[in-house]
Amino acid sequence: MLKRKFYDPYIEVVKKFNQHKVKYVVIGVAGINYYIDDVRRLFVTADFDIFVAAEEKNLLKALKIFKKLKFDVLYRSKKIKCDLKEVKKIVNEKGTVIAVDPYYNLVVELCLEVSGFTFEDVYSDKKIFYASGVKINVGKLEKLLKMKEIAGREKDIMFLEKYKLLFNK
Amino acid sequence: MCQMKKEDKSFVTKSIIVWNLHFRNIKKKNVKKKILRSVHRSSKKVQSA
Repeated sequence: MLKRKFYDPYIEVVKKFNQHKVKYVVIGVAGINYYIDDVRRLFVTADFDIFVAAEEKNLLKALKIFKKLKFDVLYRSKKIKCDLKEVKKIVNEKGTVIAVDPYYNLVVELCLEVSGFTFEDVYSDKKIFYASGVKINVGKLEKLLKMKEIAGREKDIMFLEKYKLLFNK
Repeated sequence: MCQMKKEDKSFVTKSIIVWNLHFRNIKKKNVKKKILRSVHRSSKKVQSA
């Protein structure tokens, strides 16, 4: 069988984040999936959410990495250049940046704020996973589930019900 | 304190990517089918007229 190299934009982003010492933690359903060992029990999601420390230098580094990897970077549905002025605005507003990879058009969401926890809360007891030799910082499972509970959107409630059913938790 | 888990978790993101691309293909196919169906119907009407 022909074996092709699989391009994984998420891993590329995280690898660069590690190299450039961006302070980040993977959260959301993508983060929860790292705790699941059986591939058949993974949750399908269109998002890969990354919680980054809301510091100008940190966000600037993260955005430059996206630009270097040729992602489209959007803030409030508009493409941005990722200069310091824009970064300051995003940090002030604690907004969410969307980055779209050029290969598959998949979305990475960079969050500066999450429900119920500060960055330090989530970063302090993160778990480290490895994927293709790349270290990945992931939020503690209990906190990721709690974030969904606090957010309380319809999709979060549905997710938690499904999670409880599947994992008896 | 950080805890380490050393097994390869690359299947997590690979699955997200594969599923998303798969769903995208299903969507595209359905749109194509709908267009083909409507074209087919309209051409039938022309023929019968």
